[in-house]
Amino acid sequence: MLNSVLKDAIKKRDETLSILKGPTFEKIIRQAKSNWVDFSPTKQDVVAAGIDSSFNSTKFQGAELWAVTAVSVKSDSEILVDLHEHGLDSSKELSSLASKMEVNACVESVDITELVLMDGSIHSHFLKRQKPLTTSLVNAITKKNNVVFISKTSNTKKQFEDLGAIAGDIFYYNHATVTPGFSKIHEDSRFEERGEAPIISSVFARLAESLPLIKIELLGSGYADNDFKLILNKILNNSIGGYPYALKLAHNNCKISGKDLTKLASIHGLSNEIGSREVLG
Amino acid sequence: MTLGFVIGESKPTIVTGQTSRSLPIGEYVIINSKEGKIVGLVEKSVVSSAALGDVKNYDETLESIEVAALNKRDKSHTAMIRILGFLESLQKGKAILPAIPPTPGTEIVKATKDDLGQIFGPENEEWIKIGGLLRNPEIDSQINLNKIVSRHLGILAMTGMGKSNLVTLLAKQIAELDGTVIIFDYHNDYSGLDFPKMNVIDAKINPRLLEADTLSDVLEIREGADIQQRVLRLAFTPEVKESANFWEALDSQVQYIGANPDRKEDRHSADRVQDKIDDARHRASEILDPDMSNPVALIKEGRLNILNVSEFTDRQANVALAYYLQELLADRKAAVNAKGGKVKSKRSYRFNTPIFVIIEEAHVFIPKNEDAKAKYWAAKIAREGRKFGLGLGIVSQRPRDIEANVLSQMGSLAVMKIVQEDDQRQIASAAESISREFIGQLTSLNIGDAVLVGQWVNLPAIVHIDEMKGKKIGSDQDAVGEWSVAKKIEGAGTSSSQDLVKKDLLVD
Repeated sequence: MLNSVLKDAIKKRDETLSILKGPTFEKIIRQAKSNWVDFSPTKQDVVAAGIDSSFNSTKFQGAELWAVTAVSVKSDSEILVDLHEHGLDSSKELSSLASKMEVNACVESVDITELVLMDGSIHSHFLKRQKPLTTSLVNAITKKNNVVFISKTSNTKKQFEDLGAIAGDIFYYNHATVTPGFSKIHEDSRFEERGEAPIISSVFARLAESLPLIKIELLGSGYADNDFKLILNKILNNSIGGYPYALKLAHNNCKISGKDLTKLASIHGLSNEIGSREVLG
Repeated sequence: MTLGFVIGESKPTIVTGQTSRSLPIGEYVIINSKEGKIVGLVEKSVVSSAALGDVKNYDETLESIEVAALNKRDKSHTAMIRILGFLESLQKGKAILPAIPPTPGTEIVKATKDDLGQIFGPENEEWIKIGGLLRNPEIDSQINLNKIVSRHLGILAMTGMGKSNLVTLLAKQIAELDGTVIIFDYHNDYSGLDFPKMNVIDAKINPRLLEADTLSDVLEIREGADIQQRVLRLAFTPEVKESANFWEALDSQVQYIGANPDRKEDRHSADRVQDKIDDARHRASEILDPDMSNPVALIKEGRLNILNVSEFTDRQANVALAYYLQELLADRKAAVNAKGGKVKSKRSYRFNTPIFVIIEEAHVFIPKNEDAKAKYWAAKIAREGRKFGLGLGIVSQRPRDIEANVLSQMGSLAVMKIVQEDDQRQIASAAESISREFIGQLTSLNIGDAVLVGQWVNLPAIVHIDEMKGKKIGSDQDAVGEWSVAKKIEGAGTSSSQDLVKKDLLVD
C-alpha cells in the first residue's frame, strides 16, 4: 500500500472515528438500546435444515469451466437435497443459477423438515439477483411458513438513517447491547410498494450474551415479538457461537474450492489447456 | 475386518489411513495392496472433530459437543502407518518394502494372528517368548536369543518400569537353555531370586592380579595424587605380588620407599598410601582377597551367575567389572581359537559356550565423556564380542549418560517408559529403526510395556513383557508398611515388659 494512504488515514483519523463517538453516535445508541427486546431463548427440539449454495469457475482461453452447487443439510450432516451443475461455456450467470438452486433446495426441504434455514438475506439473494424466482420462493416460504433467512452481517441502513447514522443498523445494535434478545421488528415495504414482493420483516438477534448478532428475516408482515422468540428458541438448538450449525455444514458441504475445480478440470482432461494455470494454482 | 482406506499422498514407506475408529499406536495392520499384503505399524493416530475444530471459548465448546454428538460424520480418524514390508516376506524373516506405494483407496484391514503369529513367534528354539504384543495381545512376542548374545542388547527405561523383570526373564530363559549368564548386580537385587540354576557370588578382587594403577583405584587413592600413585607403583613389585603375606609385604615396601633419604618429600605420601592399605585391609577385607584364586573361577557355566558388587565403592566396582570383562573376553577368545585350531597362546579356558554378561546401572560403568576401565572393556566386548560368543547387555535408566559409541553397538534394544528428552534423543541416535513418532510414544508406556527394536525381533514391536512370578526385583521399598510393622514390634516389646513388671509385683 502507498504510504500516502497511511498519512491520509492519520490525518482523517478523528473524522473516521466520529462514527464511534460524539452526540450523533450516542443518540443512535440510546435509540438502539430502547429498541432492544431482552430475551434469553431456550432450546426447542426441532429438525432443521440449512441451505446454502456456491459457485466457482475458471477461465481457459475461449472457455470457462464452472460449477454450481446447492445443498440442504441437517445438523446431523444428513444431506436432504444435493443439487449441482457444471459446464464448459462462458454464458452462464452463475450467481443466478446458484440462487435458483437454493430456491429449489428450499422447495424440496420445506415438507421434510420443521425449519428451513436459508443463508443470507431475502433482499440480496433473490429479489435483487433473481426476480423471476420471486414467485416460486414466495410459494415455498408460504407453503409451511417454516423458512427463515439468516445472515451473519448486514449493510441495511433503515432504522437510524433519520438520526444521522453512517454505519449499518447492525453496527449500532452491536455497540448498544451485549445481552441476548432481538431488536424491534422492522418491516421493509419497499418491494411491496414496487409490486415486487411481500413485506419483509427482520430483526437483529443475539442468542446468548456477548455473541455476535445475526439478522433474521421472515417473509410477510404483522409478526409479533413472540413469533421471533419461538424462532430464536428453535435456532438456539444446535447452534454454535450464535450461528446454526446446519448452515455451517451447508456452507462446508457446498463450497467449491480451487482444488475442487482442479479435480473437475482433471476429469475433463483440461489440465493442459491454455489458461489452465490459474486453476492449477 | 476393514479398518479404513489409504488416503492422501502415499509413499513406499509410509501411508495415511482414514479409518472408522481410532487405531492405537503400535497396532499392526494389513494393507491390501495390488502387489500383495503389506504389514504396517500405526505410528501416529489422530482424531479430529469438525464441530470442535475451531471453537473459541468454553460456551462454544459445550454447544459444539452437543452438535458433534448428533453428527455421525463429525469425527475424522486418521492414522500414520509405517510400512514394514510384504507380509509373505516378513513371515520368512525378510523385510521387503514395496517399490510402488499403495494406491490411495487401498483397503486397510486388521492384522490377524495368522498374519503376525509367524513373524513374532517363529517356531525355532532360538526364539523365546517374553510377552505379547501390546495392541494385538493374542499374539506372542518372541525374541531371538542368538542375536542378543552375538549383537548385544540395551535395556533402557526409567526406574520402576520393568527393567529388572526383563533382565530376570531373559537370564532365566538363557540358563534354562544351559546358557551362561552373568549379572553384575550393583544393588544386590537379584540374589534372592528363586531359581535352581542360580549361582550367587560375592564379587571379590584379588589385588595381586591387578596392575599398579588399578590397585590405586581399588585403594581409593585420589586420581590427582601423583606422588602417592608413584609410591604405590614402585612398591607393587613382582616380589610383593608373590609374597605369602601380600598386605604386609606391600605395606613394608611402601614404608621402605617413603624412608628413602634422597626423596624426603615422598615420606608424607608414603604414609598416606600406608593409611590406604590399612583401610583396605580392615574395611574392605571382604572384597579384597589376596589369597583367593582367580575370581572368574567362581562363575559357573550353564548357570545364572549373580555377581554381587553392592559392597564395592563405585571405583572398586569399576575395577572389578573391568577385571571380569577382561578375563571373560580373554577366556572366550582362547576357547574360540582353540576350537578353530588357531591356538596362539597356551592360555587355558573355562567356558566352552557363549556367555551373556548383563551390566546393571550401565551409566556408572560406561559413562559418557569419562575414562573408566570398565568402559574400555565394555566397548571392546561391544566391538569384538560377537566373534567370540560374548554378549553384552547394558541396563540403565539414564541412557543420556552412557557412552554413545557403546550404546550404538547394541544391536537390539528394549526401551520402556522414558520421559527425559535427552534420553529419548540418545536412544533415537543409537537406534535408527526407531522413528521420531515411535520415540514420542515412550512417555505413554506403562509398567512392563516396551518397544523392542533391532535384530532380536523380526519387526519393531510394542509389547507387554510377561511378569516374572516370585520375588519382586528392584522394587521400591514399602516404607509405610515397614514402619507399621516396626511400631507393632515396639508396642509388643513395651507391653511384654509391663506384663513382666506386673508379674514381678504379683510375685512379691
